[in-house]
Amino acid sequence: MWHRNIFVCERHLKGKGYLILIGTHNEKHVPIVIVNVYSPCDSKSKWNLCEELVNIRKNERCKTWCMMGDFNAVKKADERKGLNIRRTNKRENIGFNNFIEKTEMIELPYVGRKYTWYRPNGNAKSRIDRIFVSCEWLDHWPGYRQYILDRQISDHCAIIIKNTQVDWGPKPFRCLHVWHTDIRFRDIVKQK
Amino acid sequence: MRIININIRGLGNAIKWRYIKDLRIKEGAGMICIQETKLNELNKERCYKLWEDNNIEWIHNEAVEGARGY
Repeated sequence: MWHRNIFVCERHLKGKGYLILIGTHNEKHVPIVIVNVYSPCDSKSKWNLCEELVNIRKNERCKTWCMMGDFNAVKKADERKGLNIRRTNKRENIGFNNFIEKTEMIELPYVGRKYTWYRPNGNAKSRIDRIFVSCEWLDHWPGYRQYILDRQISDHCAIIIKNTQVDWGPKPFRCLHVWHTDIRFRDIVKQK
Repeated sequence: MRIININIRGLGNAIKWRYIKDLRIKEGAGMICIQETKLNELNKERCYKLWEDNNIEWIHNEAVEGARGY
């Protein structure tokens, strides 16, 4: 769901576990692709979905991508913790990492909680929701992070991507005291 | 470009719509990606109300046969 002042959708692709919007960012007039992923739990459908997304990315002319959602997979073993949880197998980690590599996308640095899903009784947690962007996206929107918020009305946490680059004003002037003893020093600083 | 992403675990009741509405306003997000709506379709009036604006658009993959809506 989006506001037309921000994004104009030209076409979309729907498939099992994904929804892709292809359009233009209205303020920057840049073509972009937004991918909403909701991966199935069973491995076969999961890897089919990954393969499909890799192919779509390969064939799509616009490479400025932002992909987010519930991937039902983690990158490392310690991203899934708890009782009675499906043993994180290495295959899943390797498969997911391969997928990320093949799409040539980068996960945005995160702020906030480490895990994005908590079992209601609190005995299990994992980091299955993520936001990835392509290098081309970073060229247009550098300095973005994913903020993982506190869990409130779902067993998943909401994640927000936003820019947090702060303008701290001019850089403070620093110098070595000995430079003052050089008579050329004042003139050089003035010139620069 | 601020985007909200959430697996909502069912968008049936008003409290969840309210949560998304408040969060969107607070963060000033221009786009929301939702998973697991558990709905066949998104109600037009509810979407407009969520944004307090009619100049919005959405695409929904309906929840059928094991798919859970996103």
